[in-house]
Parts: sequence; structure tokens; C-alpha cells
Amino acid sequence: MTPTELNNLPVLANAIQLVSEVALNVIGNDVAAEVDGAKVTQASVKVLAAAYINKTLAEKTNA
Amino acid sequence: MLDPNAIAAAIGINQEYAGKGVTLTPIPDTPLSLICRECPTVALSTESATYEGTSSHLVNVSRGEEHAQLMAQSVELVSGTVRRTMDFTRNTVYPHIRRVVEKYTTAMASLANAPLPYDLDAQYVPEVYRLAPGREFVEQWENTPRATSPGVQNFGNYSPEEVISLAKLTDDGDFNSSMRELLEARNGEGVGLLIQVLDGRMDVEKLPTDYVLPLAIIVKNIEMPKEGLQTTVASYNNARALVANIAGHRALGAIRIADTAFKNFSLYPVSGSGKAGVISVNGEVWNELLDKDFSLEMLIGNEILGRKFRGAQLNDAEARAAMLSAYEGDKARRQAAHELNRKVAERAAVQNVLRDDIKCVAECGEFTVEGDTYDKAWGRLRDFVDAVYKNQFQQHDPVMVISAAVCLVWYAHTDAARVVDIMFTIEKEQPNLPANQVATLATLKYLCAWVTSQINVSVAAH
Repeated sequence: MTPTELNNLPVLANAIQLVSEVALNVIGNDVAAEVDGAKVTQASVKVLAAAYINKTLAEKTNA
Repeated sequence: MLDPNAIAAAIGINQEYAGKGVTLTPIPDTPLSLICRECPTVALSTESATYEGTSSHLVNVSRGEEHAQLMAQSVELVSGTVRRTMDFTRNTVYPHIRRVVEKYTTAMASLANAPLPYDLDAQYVPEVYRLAPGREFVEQWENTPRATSPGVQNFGNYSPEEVISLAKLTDDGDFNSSMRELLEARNGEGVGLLIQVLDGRMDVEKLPTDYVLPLAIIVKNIEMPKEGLQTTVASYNNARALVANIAGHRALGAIRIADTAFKNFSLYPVSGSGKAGVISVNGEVWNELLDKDFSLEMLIGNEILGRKFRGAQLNDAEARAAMLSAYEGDKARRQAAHELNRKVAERAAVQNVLRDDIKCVAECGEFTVEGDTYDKAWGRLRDFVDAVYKNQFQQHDPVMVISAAVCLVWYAHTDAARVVDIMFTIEKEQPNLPANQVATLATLKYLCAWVTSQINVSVAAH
């Protein structure tokens, strides 16, 4: 791993976990919460969060 | 403690960034920076570090109470705020915007399409005028003087069936069935008008040309006056002869005009509809042209050129190109004018529906922004609309404009504008997504925007 990768990993991991836990907390009451037909779960919400964080960071990088 | 699933999801992104020299740093004093401080990686040697080893290291260093506590505190604090924002947006702001958008859609419904300002009136001589029995019948008036109109004449009352039966000329099946078709067309218009001429309500001169041939045949066939008709045989026969003469001459004239038009390939009839925007054409010539790949667009182009091309010129390739070019130019001008009108109307509609909304609240409700008045709210809206539509050629999505305007006027003190913007973007990308999924995705995207606002992104210069 490069120093940059080593530096970035905890930032990304914590960001994903923070978003996921808040999201589950907020939408957890909504029993119908699902995306593309699949129920939002502990694992799937992290994948979704990672994708959206990546997209937003990419926009920031390009800006 | 950091969840291995979160680390695994992070590794995917991290590897993407590896070759790009992108460094991510939490902005100091943000919730994310405080949490990150509890799981440092500085102790690791970059040379020996692997993703597997670093993942284990991160799980281990974040086992402490501090990380869990900071994470839990942030989650609790942010959850409450986000839940309130989402609930408020879904239950108050979003329906408010939808109501205004609905009013806007109604106001704009009539401007959806640029109507073509031309209509086609293809004039055809009915088939009975072209069939041999019909032509031969009217030829009896060739070289005879046209009588002076005797005005309305009463031949008695006839039923629709009697009229159809009397309009038969020979035993020619084709001719008789064409005649019946003509008289019964358009809900029996022909039968109705002929009954009016026969019972003295209509002058033969006023009968539409399509029905003068049947009238001439009918008055020839009613040899005996109807019972009870107050007339003499001589007077009756004189009236029949006069009406037949006028109807016959008119029918003969129509046949000759159609023949001449076809022979000379005259597209435009001597007498058109006279209505603005209506292009009258001789039906037979029009059909002939269509068979030779002429088009409605060329016809309109020729109209724009002042009917520059006529007769055989209409088949000329260069003339056709000129007609098409005139049509395209006119179409582009009309479209541009329509687009400009639409934009002016769009701006006016956006402004009006929102002003009505402000008026309604000023009269019978409460402003959501403390200390707001009609003038203040209207001022904000007007400035916003002015700024958006400053460049009249720029494209705008009116729904997004309305959504931003509603949030600015009513909910500027909340984060609703950002949430609504996310929701509309999701709806645009996935129009069939159910509302609850839109809300779920919007929550996630909103949170991602919040968390990434706590990260500084720097790219190393190459």
C-alpha cells in the first residue's frame, strides 16, 4: 500500500460507517425501505454508501 | 469499532484512487475528523502494509471506547437532524412543491405544441360526376341557355328513402351505389339538403355543388305532383324544368372545371375556401402529385413562396427543393418564435403560481420565515426568477426552478432545497421508482453529501 492509500483508508471506512449507521437509524423505521427491490440491510447500505461517497468525492476531485 | 464491511467497501474506492494521487483529509473539528483520530494508521509501515493487515489493524485500534462513543454520539445527533429534515421535506415541502407544479402544468397545458398554421382542403368532384351515366346525363344541358333562378320551389314532402330512390339514373349498379354513398355521407347531409330544396325551404342556387347532379336527376324523375300539392301540371312541370336546368348547368360546370384542372394539371382550384391558412387544392391533381412523391411540406412551401410553382413545374426537382427549403425555413422561424413565446409564458407562469401562493398565505395563513411579509417574500421570488431567466435562451427545467423558488421563498431557513434537489434528480434518473425508494435513496445521498463535505480532497501535481 502507498502512504496515500494508508492515509485514505480509515477516512473512507469511517465515512462509510457513519453514513450507514445514520441511514439505518433514519430509514430503519420505514419497514418498506428498499432499493432496486432489495431490502436495505447492514451490509447493502455500506455498499450503497460507498458508491455515493465515491461519486461525490469524484465530483469534488474533478472540481 | 470499525465494521469490517465498511472497511471492505472502502478498499474498493481506495484502490481506485491509488494511482490518482488523491489525498483525503478530514476537515478539523468535524465529527468525521474526531472519529478518524481514534483509528490512526501512522504506526504502520507502508512497505509491509497490506489491505488485509491494515483492515485488521483498523478493527483493532478502533476497539477502544472512544471510537464507539464518538461514532454513537455522531449517529444520534445527526440521525435526529436528518430525520426531522427528511420528514419535513417529505410531508411539507415536497407536497407544497407538487401543488405549485400542478398549477403550473395546468397554466402551461395550452402551450404544449406549436400548431401548424395551415390546413388542407382537398376538393374532389363526387364519383357520380365522373361515372359515364352522370356525365352523359348532364350533357343534355350542353349548348343550352342557363335559366334564371326561379327562387324556392315546392315539390312536396319527400322521405329520405324516396330521395335516394328518385336519385337513381339507370340500372347501373355502380352509379346507384355511388349515389347512395354520396347522399348518405356525413350523416345523410345530402338527403337532408335535397329534402329542403324539394319542400321549398332552400333555393337550388344555394345547394352545395356536390348535390346538384342528384337534384337534377330527382326533379327529372318526379313526373307527377304529390297529392295535395296546390299547383297545376303546367306550372309544376315548368318549375321542374327550371330547377333541373339550373342544377344541370351547375353540375356540368363542375365536371368541366374538374376536367380542365386535371388536363392542365392545375393544383389550385378557381375558388378556394377563402379561409385564412386553408390551402385549397383540386383533389384529383393532388392525388396525382402524391403518387409522384409530392408532399404536404412542399405544398406549404409553395404557399410560403406565393404559389410560385404551378402545373408541370410542381414535378420539377429544383422547384420541389425550393418548396421544401421554404417550408423548413418557415418551420424553423415558427419553432423559434414558439420557443421564445413558451419561455416568456413559462417565466410568467412560474412567477404567477408562486405569487398566488404567497398572496394566499399573506391573506389567510402564516409565513414560515419569521418576520416575513408579502413584499419581502415576493421580492425574494422576483429576484430569483429574474436571475434564473436573465438569459432567455438558456434551457431550464421549470420543475427544478419551481422547487428551488418554493424552498427559497418558504423554506430558506431549512436544508429542504438540497433534499428536494436530490429527490427530483433521482426521480428524473429513475422515473418509475416508488416514492419510498426515492426517499430512501435521497436520505443516503443527502448523508453522503454531508459526510463528504467534511473531507478535504487534494490531488498531487504530477
